[in-house]
Amino acid sequence: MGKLVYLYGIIPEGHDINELWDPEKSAIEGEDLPYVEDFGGLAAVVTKVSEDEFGETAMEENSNNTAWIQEKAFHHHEALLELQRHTTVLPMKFGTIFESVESLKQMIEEKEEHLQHTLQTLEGKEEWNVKAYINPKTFYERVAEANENVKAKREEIEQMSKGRQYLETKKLDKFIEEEMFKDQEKKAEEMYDRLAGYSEDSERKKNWKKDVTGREDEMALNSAFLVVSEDLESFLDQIREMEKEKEEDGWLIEATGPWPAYHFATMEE
Amino acid sequence: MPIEQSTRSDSIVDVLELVLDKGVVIAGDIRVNIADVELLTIKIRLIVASVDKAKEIGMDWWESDPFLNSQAARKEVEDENRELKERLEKLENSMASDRTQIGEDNK
Repeated sequence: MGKLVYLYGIIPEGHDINELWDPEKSAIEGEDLPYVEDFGGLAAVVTKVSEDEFGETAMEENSNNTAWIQEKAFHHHEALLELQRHTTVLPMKFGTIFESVESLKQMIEEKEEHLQHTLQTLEGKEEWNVKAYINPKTFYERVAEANENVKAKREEIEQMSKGRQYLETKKLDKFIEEEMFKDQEKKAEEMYDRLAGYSEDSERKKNWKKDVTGREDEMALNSAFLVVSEDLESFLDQIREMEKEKEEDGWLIEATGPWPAYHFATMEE
Repeated sequence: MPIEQSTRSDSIVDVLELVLDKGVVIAGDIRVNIADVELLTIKIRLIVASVDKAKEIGMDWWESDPFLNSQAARKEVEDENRELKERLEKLENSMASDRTQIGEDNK
């Protein structure tokens, strides 16, 4: 059966696999352990995988198998964490596979300039992910109490006739909810901008629904930042400060890292 | 303070979000479609959903060290898997008909 080339990530040349890989760690599949393929200037950490398990058709099938994805995707991630401990690495997404070393070489040569540039950009930096959650009840109460538009609306209603007051008061709840979503998004955007100011690069991502988070709170911000390692403390200080400022309003902020720079290691220019 | 080292606390859902590229991997010369990330994370979430139950039997590996213990945990999780299969099927059916309804079904 044919062998394919599984690419973990791209690193600067001149590294030996023994300094990058924990020998205790098993292979992604079978017995083939990873190795470094040098391409002059750049190097790739790769391993051989079988077409049986990682070929196009097999992958389609396996990607429906959650246990398989969980195992292999975690392996991929662990491998990159280990690489990251020893060198600057341009991490690939899970499942980046080439027909042969030759086709990998072709890709690297085509994109050499971009890959070199990206590696340089990533040097001395780390990716941190920040998620902010909002407790809808607490935040609703806050908005109902302190939001200027809600206050104005209430005053407006007070001036109305009894009949209209009744109708408008019934609608007030919906108005508060709308204001709440606006406020939530505004605050999330402020947080994101503030953190972006302390990072080299940033990306705002789609919020997860509750099915994915499994939480009572709503996710209001999902974002990734590329932070200069030396400046990490000031970046984290911002998060600590923001949390203190916003805790009473029902916000919770979570930062995780350092991750391999999955968000900032683009293959395309 | 919820600031965590990624080596200690990565949940499966976090890792999947990061290592899967919006469902499609196009960086290699073999093109592979992987199921929608959101659907996948929901599935995996269901598999590991009974965190409380797992904690009772000391399997809170995703909070301590998911990396070293993920192999062992998967076995334990297989039992949960069966239990949750029914729920998952229901969820998938509802996703197929209307993805926006998921939240309701899950409550």
